[in-house]
Amino acid sequence: MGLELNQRFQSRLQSTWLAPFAVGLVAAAIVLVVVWKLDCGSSASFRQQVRGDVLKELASVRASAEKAINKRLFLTLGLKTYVSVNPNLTEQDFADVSALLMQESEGIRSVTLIKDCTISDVYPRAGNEAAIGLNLLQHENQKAATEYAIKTGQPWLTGPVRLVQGGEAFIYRAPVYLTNPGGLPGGGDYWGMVSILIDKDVLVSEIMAGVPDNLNIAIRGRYEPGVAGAIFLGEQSIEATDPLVAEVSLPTGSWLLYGVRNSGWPTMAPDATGRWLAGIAFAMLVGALCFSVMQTTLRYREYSKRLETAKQDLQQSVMRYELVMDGASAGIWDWDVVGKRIHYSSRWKAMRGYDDVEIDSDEAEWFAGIHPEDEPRVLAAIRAHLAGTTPLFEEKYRVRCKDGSWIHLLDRGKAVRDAHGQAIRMAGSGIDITQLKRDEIELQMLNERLAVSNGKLENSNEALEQSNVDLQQFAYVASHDLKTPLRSIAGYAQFLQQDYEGQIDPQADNYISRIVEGANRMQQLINDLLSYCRVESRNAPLEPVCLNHVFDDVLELLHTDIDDANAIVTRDSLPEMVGDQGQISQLLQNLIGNGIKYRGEQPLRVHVSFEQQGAQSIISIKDNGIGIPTQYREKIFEIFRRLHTQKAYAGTGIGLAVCRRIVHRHGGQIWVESVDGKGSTFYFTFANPLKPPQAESFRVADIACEPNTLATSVSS
Amino acid sequence: MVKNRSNLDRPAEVLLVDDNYDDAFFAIKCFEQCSYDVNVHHVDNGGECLAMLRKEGAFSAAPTPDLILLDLNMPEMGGREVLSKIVNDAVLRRLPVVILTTSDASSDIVAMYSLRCSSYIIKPVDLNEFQRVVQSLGDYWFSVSALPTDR
Repeated sequence: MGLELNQRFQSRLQSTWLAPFAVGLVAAAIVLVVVWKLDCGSSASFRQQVRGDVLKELASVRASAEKAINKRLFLTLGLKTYVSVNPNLTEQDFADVSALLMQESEGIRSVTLIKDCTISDVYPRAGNEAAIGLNLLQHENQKAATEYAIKTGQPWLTGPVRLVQGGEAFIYRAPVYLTNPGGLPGGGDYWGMVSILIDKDVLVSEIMAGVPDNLNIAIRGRYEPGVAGAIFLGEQSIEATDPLVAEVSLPTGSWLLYGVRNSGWPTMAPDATGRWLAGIAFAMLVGALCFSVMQTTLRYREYSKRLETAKQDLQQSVMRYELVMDGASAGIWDWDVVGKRIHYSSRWKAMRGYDDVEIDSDEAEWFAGIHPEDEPRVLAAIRAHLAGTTPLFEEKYRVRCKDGSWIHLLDRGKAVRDAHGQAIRMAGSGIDITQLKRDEIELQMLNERLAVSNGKLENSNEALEQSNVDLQQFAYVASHDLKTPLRSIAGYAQFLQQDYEGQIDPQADNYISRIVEGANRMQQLINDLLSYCRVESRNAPLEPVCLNHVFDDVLELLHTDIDDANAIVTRDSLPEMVGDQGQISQLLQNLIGNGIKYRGEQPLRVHVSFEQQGAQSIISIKDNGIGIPTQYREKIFEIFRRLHTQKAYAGTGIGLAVCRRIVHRHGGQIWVESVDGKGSTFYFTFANPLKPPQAESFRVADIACEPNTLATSVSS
Repeated sequence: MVKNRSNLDRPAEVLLVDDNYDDAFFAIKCFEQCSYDVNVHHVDNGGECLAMLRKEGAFSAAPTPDLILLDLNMPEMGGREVLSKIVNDAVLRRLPVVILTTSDASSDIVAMYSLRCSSYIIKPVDLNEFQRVVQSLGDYWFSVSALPTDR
């Protein structure tokens, strides 16, 4: 029980890592989440900051871009104004004004005068002659914008376009409306346009000059409302980097200025790594702390429970122990081997008839109290156990009580050993078995007596057996020895009869005849005696016997007598039984023979029948002979008892005695019922038949008997 | 009485071994009364029987019997021992030995036949019966059977 508890305790103890571990994990996770959140925040703010910086830079870039472009665009105003007022300016005028304009700013590739919709003049002429005479409306690219400009009177900027002359330039066109003298500026009709070509590279480099190194920009032109142009500065790919957008406003339309840090927007603050490391470390610390705390708590709980259980167990154990000790009427002792002192329980002392305080705890007192005959054996046993050769000390011995008497003790003990295996202490319990011992002795005595009786019984049995055998032997031998002189008597008597009959005198003949008769009778008696003895002595094994066959055989044997008696002997179907064939045959022969012998005046009928009454099987032999008077019904079964003289009926009186012996040997009973003068029925029982009587096709007995009797009765 | 002719053209020699003189007397009487010419030689113990058969000592002139009638219960040497010795003798074993005894114990009957006696007869108690038996013996052995001693 304790072991199981301990195992459970250990396993529970082991499993106390799980929950705390989970908790620790969760705590660490929480800390990590917090760190992450913090990090996100700082990252966000960092990004904000960066974006802010970029925005500022972008703004300055925009300003410089605006300045760069507008500076040049505004130049056209001058020309436009001049033309508006002087529509008929000469080539020279145009060239001068244009030269002036171009001087104002770098990057102006050319100035173009467009009368109506056709380019009328270009400055500088050199290299640009091809453009003169170009009708803008015929130009796919320019057509729409031109019409728009004419309609709205708004200037517009396009570009950059690739120039035939090489390079790229922006084209700025401003429609010119005539100003009537004294009239509204530009209030007159549409005259044409003026345009300038601004070199893209110059513009771009001007713009780029103001761009910080770490800023990546791009500019998209947006001239027609709602239509975004192409990016002419920077990469298209900038749009994928989520750039900040600023608008460079132009007189017409605007440019979209994209700006992003070269390295892209930062995802995390530069000190993020450090923060994360610190964060993770902190998380782990927190996790470990939580784990530790929780585990300690759980373990403490387990230990407490265990302690509680152990306390309870101990209490129970103590109670049980006390109960057992009390119930077993055992005394306890505790021997301090080293200190040579023995402590006894009060029960122990009481067993020996002492009061609680009366026994000395010196070990010598104990050893002195052991019976001197038992002492060597007990000491040897103690030594053996202390030495470690026996696992337990157990001995039965006698100890002296206070009053000097002895009690038998069953003492058991076990030693406690130190680290070296030396016995330092031994404790045990003892039971008073005096009564048990007494009972044991008594039992032994009874057993001895029993053995003696048994022996005697066996002897008498043997003697009985032997005497039985002797008796049989005696009967056999005696009858033979008796027969020998009898043979002599009978023989000589018969010779006398044969040789001297009629030769002496009738009296002598009579004497001789009587001698012969006597001798014969004695023969008969001896034979009958022998056959009576034989009933038990013949040890033929019991086998199935068919009574039908036995009856038929007996009839054969007796057929002379049956014929002489004119008897009709019949039978029912008889069963098969277990028995000694020879003896059963003898039995039937005697009974049927009797039936025939003791016949009366009436025609003799003897009938054998079978009846099953419950568990009993009964054979009956019924005759209509002379019957038997009631008072002799028992006597006739006695040996040599006869109811009639030899003259009346021959016989030795052994027949029925033999029958009874045979029936008894087969475990049955035999008796007779008779009406004096009317006939008798002899009954005998036997153990259950092997087979019940079978139906027969014909009765052999009748056929065997009747023809003879018929013949006889017919003839008589 | 007028004797029948037996197979032998001489009187039959019967050796009767029985320690009971009365029984021997009856047997001799019966043989006298039977219808065969029989000389009965009677010895009352097994030793003499064997001596006679071997024609030893006083019996050197004894004739070889045609039939031996042997009783069982004899003192000193019993019939069983005698028969055993006869059967184990190369010359004597041919002689028919009929056990003639009062014992009807099947153990005796079986034992004797096992020793190859020629027949086993239980001495009848009745004299008339005995006379019939002796006559039967004569009929069987001297009339019906051929004998090894017949020259």
